[in-house]
Amino acid sequence: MRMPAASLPFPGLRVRLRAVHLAESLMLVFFAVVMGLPVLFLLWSSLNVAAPGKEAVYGLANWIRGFSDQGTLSALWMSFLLSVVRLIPAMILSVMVAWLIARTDMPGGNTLEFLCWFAYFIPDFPLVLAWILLLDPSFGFLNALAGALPFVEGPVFNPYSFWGIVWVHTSTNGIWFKVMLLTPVFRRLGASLEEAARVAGASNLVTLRRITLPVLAPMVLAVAALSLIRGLESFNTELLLGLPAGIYVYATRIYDYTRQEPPAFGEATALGSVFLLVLVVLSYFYWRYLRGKRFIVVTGQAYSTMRVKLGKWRYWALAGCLVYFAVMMILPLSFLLIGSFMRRYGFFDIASPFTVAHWRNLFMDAIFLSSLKNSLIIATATALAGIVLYSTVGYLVASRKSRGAELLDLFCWLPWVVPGILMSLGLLWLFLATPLRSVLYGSVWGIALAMTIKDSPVSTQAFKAAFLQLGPDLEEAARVTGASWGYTYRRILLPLVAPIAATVGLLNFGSALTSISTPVLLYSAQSRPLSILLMEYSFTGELERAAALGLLITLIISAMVLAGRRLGLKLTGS
Amino acid sequence: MGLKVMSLGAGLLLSFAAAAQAQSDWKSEWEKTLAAAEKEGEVALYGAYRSGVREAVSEFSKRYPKIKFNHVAGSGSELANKVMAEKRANRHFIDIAVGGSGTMVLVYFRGGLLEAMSSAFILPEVKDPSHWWGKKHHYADPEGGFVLMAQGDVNTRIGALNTKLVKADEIQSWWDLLSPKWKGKIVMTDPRSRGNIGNWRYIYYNPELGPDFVRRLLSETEVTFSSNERQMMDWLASGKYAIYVMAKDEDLAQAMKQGLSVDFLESRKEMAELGTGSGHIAFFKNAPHPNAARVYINWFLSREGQTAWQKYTGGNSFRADIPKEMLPNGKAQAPKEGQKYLFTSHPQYEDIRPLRRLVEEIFAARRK
Repeated sequence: MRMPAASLPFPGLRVRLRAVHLAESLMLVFFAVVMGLPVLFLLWSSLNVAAPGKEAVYGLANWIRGFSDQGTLSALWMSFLLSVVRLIPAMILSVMVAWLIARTDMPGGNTLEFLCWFAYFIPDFPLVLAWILLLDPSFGFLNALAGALPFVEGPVFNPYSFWGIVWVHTSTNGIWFKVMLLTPVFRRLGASLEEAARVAGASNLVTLRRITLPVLAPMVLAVAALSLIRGLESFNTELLLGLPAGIYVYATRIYDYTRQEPPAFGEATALGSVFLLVLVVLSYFYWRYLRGKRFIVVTGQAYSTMRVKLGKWRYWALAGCLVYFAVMMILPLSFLLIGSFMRRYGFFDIASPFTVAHWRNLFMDAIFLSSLKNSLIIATATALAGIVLYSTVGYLVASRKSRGAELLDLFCWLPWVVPGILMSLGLLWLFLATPLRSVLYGSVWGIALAMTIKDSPVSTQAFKAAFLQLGPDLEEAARVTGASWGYTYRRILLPLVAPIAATVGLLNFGSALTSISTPVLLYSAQSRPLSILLMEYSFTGELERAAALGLLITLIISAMVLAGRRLGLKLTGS
Repeated sequence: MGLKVMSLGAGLLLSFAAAAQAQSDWKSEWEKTLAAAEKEGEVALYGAYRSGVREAVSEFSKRYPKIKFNHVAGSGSELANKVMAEKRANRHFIDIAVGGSGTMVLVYFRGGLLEAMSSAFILPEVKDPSHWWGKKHHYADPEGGFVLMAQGDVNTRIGALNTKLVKADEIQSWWDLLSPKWKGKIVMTDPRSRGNIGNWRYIYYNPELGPDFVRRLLSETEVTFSSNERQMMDWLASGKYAIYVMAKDEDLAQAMKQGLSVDFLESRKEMAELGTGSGHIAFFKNAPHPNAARVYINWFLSREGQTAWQKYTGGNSFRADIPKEMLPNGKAQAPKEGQKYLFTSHPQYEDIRPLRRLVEEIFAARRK
């Protein structure tokens, strides 16, 4: 039973509860404004059926048109099918790889984790093209290799198919993101539970299934939910591989409406509302699963992070991981790297096929340096703001059992359930409607704020899962010794979630460098980031220069990841 | 006689004086505007993503270094949303837009956001329509004064062909695409993709092709669709497909320059299209830098500005007084006086709803 703050015996505790309550209320108001208002703006404007620039007329025509459009329902079904089919094997693989990296004595774990970060931030468009070059039935490199075998007739691989899309997705964003989020959580898990299981005679796999995974359920489920929603919103791969095979997905239909002239954002918002429904359903099941359960793995008592010994299997496990990484990442990445030095990506039989012109033109571009500077400011601000803001939100959501905390949790999902370009439009309206518009609109700070908001689901869920792992005795001990809440939070809790903080910071940094849909409506000539330059190259057919820029962005992120990981590992003593 | 000579002399003097006065008028107006523009210090142009557009519009900075040139690039729909949101909030950041006719007419013009272009004209070479094709300025809006078409390319293009798979004279007309020989060998953008349907107006409104051709092309040829122009060009060059319908000129020119086995595929039988691409310019009401915007518009429409446009974008300027040899397709790309073209940017071809309905009907029938 919770005691009302006024009747608590210790005045210090009363002050502490008031402070936490105040923090929760402030966060709630902030997120209601920056996340709830843009969505409300969008929903409201989707009811406006007047032509652009004309007096508003309200009605349901946009919604009726959106949902009565031929093929909308079949596209929605195809999206769910694709998302679920690729989610299940990807989740199993991700959990296995994260466990191998963080909980076992498999050699090279840290390098594999770094490679996941590297792979995650490689721009997906040229990577999909790399897979086409490898798998196309007419000219694919792997089909040509397979065709040389005596018993093979006709092409073996076809990327323009349901399974082709699943395969390419597994390569572009299959396990990387999940491993990045799961590994730090696995790492924080104390070994005592696993040791107890082994003493009781359980094998490594049984321990993983019966002990480790249930304890890590909040993060595993959150990653699955995040991946499902991202899968539903995905359309780049489907556009390139699905359309030639007549496979249409829901997100493509939304994208189509936003590209129409004049753009039909009312219809796009109507279709996008389905994602809100999915969010509500997912949140309900997530909440039901977690209700009444405890997931504490870090307490004030003895804490051991001893790793599981795999014996001779450690090299087999490493070999398995290396094969997976080689096929899913190194192979297409090599094509991408070669592509950035080719006169025409994928064409080896033209006269002088190799050139450094794309790299030279990139560095010679008059706006490259200013875009690089803008991107670094935006990414750094986003990373720092993300850590400060979402560590607080994660703490409140994990430790408070109030309605406010539940609402806060729900608000933080919004930026991912609204398609990127629509969220960007909602934020544009919000920025223009506030007195701070001269600071926010068209500036690097506005884009940094938008990026911080856009990353809220993953940041909040990561911190929430980390705080759910901490036992209450840590805070109680600090309180008994007279530490203030702020001091406890800063000196006890934050260092314990430092690996997650490093992960969130780096993830936000990388996402701010690569995101296109969020800054596209918010940038000005002075605040143009690199990602917009990359999009410009892609749109104007300069794919090779885009590939070079994409690789450069990935290298910047990788350097940050190396530095960040070093710091994170130092803090955890791993 | 003496009186006549005197009157003639007086008349001549008067006309010289008027001309001198006019010249000093535009000169003083230009100097005043330029000084005010330099005081404003910048000009904001929202422009479309297209190959060479950024380079072409940015040449202004070399000519007028005291006026900072702010260029925001985006697709038509992205920029339309940005502008509409700014205007709804009563914030005015945009001076000029350069891009395709769709957004310019359907959003900016119909939304009442534009100033008449003539209000910006100062330089005689810009004001004088005799320098332009057809001796007039061309506009895409129904009132004929707000969205100026600076570019116009004669287009007899069906698309692109693979030179190893299609012989030079094998296809002479759009109707030849219906030959069973090309079944399964054609690739194009999906007309249902909303951003692309405007490109089909030429076929739909062409009396020599029309709805019947649209129906047969989409239902008889087993055509493959893609959403990505680069992907389609690569497919064509690799021999996966023989014909790429409605390939973009700049993509094709780039692929040919890179040594790929592709070439232009022309129709020699149907009426040519006059396409205006991304070469439209509009001047906004409540522009935050009205004088700088006027200077920009005059530079853009001048011989110098239009030469830069031709040089970087490869699109033909409607200005008739600049060399056409620099264009990818040479003089053939520029329209000829007295020739008949299907001018698809004209307002009578703006309505794409019947075309969209027809395409949806065809695809519904294909599914059955």
